[in-house]
Amino acid sequence: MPNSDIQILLVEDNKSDAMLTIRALKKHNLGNNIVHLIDGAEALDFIFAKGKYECRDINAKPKVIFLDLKMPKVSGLEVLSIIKSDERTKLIPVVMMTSSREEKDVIESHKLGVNSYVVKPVDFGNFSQTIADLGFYWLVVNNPPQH
Amino acid sequence: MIKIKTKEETSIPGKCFALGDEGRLTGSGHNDVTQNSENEQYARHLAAIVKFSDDAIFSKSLDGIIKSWNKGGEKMFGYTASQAVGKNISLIIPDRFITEEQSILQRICNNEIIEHFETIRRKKNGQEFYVSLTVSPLKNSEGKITGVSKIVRDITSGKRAEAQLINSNKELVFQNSEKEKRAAELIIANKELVFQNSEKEKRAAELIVANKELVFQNGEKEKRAGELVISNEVLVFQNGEKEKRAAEVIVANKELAFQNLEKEKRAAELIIANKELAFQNDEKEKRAIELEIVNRELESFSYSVSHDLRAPLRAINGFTQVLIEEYIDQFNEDAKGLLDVVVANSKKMGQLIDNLLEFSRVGKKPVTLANINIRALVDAVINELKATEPERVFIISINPLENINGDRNMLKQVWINLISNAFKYTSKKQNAVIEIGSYRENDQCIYYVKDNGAGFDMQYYDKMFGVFQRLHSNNDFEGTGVGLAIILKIITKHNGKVWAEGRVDEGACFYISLPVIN
Repeated sequence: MPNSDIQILLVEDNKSDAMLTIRALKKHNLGNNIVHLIDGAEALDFIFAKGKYECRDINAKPKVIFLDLKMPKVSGLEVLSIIKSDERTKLIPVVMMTSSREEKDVIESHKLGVNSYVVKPVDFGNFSQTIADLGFYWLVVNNPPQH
Repeated sequence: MIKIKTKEETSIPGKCFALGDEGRLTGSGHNDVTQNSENEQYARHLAAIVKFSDDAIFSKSLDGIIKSWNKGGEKMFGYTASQAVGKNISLIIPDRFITEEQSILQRICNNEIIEHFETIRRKKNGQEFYVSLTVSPLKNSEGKITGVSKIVRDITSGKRAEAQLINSNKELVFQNSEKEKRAAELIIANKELVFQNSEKEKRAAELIVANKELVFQNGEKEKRAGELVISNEVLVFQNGEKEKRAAEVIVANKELAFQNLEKEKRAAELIIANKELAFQNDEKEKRAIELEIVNRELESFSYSVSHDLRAPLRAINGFTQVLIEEYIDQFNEDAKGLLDVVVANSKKMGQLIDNLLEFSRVGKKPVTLANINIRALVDAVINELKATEPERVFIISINPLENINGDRNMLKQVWINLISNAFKYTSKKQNAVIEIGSYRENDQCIYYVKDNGAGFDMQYYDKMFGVFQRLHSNNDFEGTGVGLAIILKIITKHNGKVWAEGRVDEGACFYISLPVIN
C-alpha cells in the first residue's frame, strides 16, 4: 500500500455510512488515497504502525482523520484521546463524525482537542454536501504545519 | 457602933440604945439620975428621928417577930404599925429570900454589923422591890442580944437606873457592833457602787455613741421609709395590674390547657400522619431510585436511538438517492415517484428522531438564568424564520415586550416553536396576521403570540401539549407533534405556565407566563 500520499483516514464501523462517505468524497473528487478502517483498535495500530501495520512508516501521516464516535472495542473518543496526547500524532486534524448531537459527547471531544465535530445528516443530499465540505476544507483550504 | 445618919452626923460613943415602941428608949447602960434625965431627952430626940425618917426602921425579935414599925415602914411596905407589929418578918420577905434572912441573923449574932446589904422585899400589895438593909443587934442591959433593928431603904429607882444603864450599854455595844458590821458592808457596797458607776459611765459613753448611730439610722430609715412609701404606691398599682394580668393569665391558661388538649390530639394525629408520611417518603425514595434508574435507561435509550436508528435511516435515504442519481435512466416515472416517497419518509423519520432527541434533551438540561432582551430575541427568530420562506408575506405587529430572567437557549427554542407554528398555521391564509406582546399580571409576565391561522377545536385542547399529539393531519400541516410539548417542558422548568385559546379557521392565541425574578 502506498503510504506517502494518504489523504484521508476514515475510521467507521458502519459499512453503509462508510460507503456513502467514500461515494460522497469521490463524487467531489476527494476520494484518492482514502484508507478505511473498521474499528478503533485497528485505527491505533495503523496510526502508530503496530500489529499488522508494523511495517508502515509512522511518519506517513494522513492529512485528516474522519473518526466515527461510536465504535466497538475502542471508541472514537478513546482513539481521539490517544492521538491528541501523543507528540507524534497530536497535530493530525481529527473530525469526529457522529449520528448524535449529544451535548456531553460534543464537550468531551472538544476537551480532548477535536478539530471538528460533525453530526451526520440523515438526508443523503445534506450528508454528501457536508462530507464534501469537510474534505475540501481539510485537504485544500487548511494549511497544516510542514513536517 | 451604931451610926445614925442625920444632917449632922451624931455619934454617941460608948452608949447603946434599944429603940422601943414610938422611939422610946427601952434600955440604957447608965443608972444615975442626972444621967437619966439627960438620957431621956436624948432618947426622945432619937425617937423623933426614927418616927419621921423616910427609911423604914423596925425591930424584931430573934425569933423573927416584928417588935416596932415606924411611919417610913408604913409608907414603904403599906402595912401600918399595928398591921406589922407582932407578925413574923416573913410578912415582907419573898419566900425565896427567907434563908437569906436567917443567915443575916446568924451573922448579927456573931457580932457582925451588916450595912447596905442589897436584897429584895415585898410590899403589902405583893410588889417586890430592891432594898438596902442595915441591920444591927439589939442588946439588953446585960449586953445580950435580944433582937435586931433594921433600917430599910428603897433603892428601886437606883436599881432601875442601873439596870437601864446596863441594858443601855449592852444595847449600845450591840448597836456599835451592828453599825461597824454595817459600815464594813457599806464600804464593800460603796466599792461595788464605784465600780458599777465606772461601768455605767463606760456604758453611758457607749450608749451615747450607739444613740448617735441610732439617730443617724433613724434618719436613714425615715428617708428609706419615704422611698418605700412611694415604692409601695407603685407596688400597689403594679399589684393591681398583676392581679388583672393574673386573671387574664388564668383565662389564657384555661384556653391554653384546652388548646394543649387539642394539640395533643392533633399531635397524636400528626404522629400517625408522620408515620404515614415516613412510609410514603420511603416509598418515594424507592420510587426516586427507580426513576433514577429509569432515567438512566432512557438516556441510554435516547443515545441509542440517536445513533443506531439514524444510521440505517441514513443508509435507506442515502442509497435511495444514489439510485435516483446514478441509475435514473433505468426507472420509469412511476418507479421514480416511489423512490421519492422512500426518500421523503426517511427524511420524515429523521425529523421525528431529531425532535424526540430534542425533547428528551430539554428535560435533562438545567436552567441557567440570565436577563434576556425578549424583543431582540423575537426579532432575531422572526428574521431567521422569514428567511426560510422568503416568498410569503407576513403582517406582524410587535407590542412592547418585557425583558425577563430565563435560560437563553431554552427561551429561544420556545419563541422559535411559537412563531414557526404561527407561520405554519397561517400558510393557507391570504394574509398571515400575527400579533406578539406581553403584559403583567401580579408577579407574572405573560407573553402571547396570536395568529389568524387555522386555529383549533378547544374540544381537543387537552391533547395539544402532549408529545406526538397533533390536531391537524400531516396532509394539511406537516409536523411531528413535539413543538408544543417542548414549549410546555421548558416553561414548566421556568416555573411558568402555558395555555392557548383557539377557534377552528379563526386563529389561535398561545400564552406563556413566566415569574418575574429579580
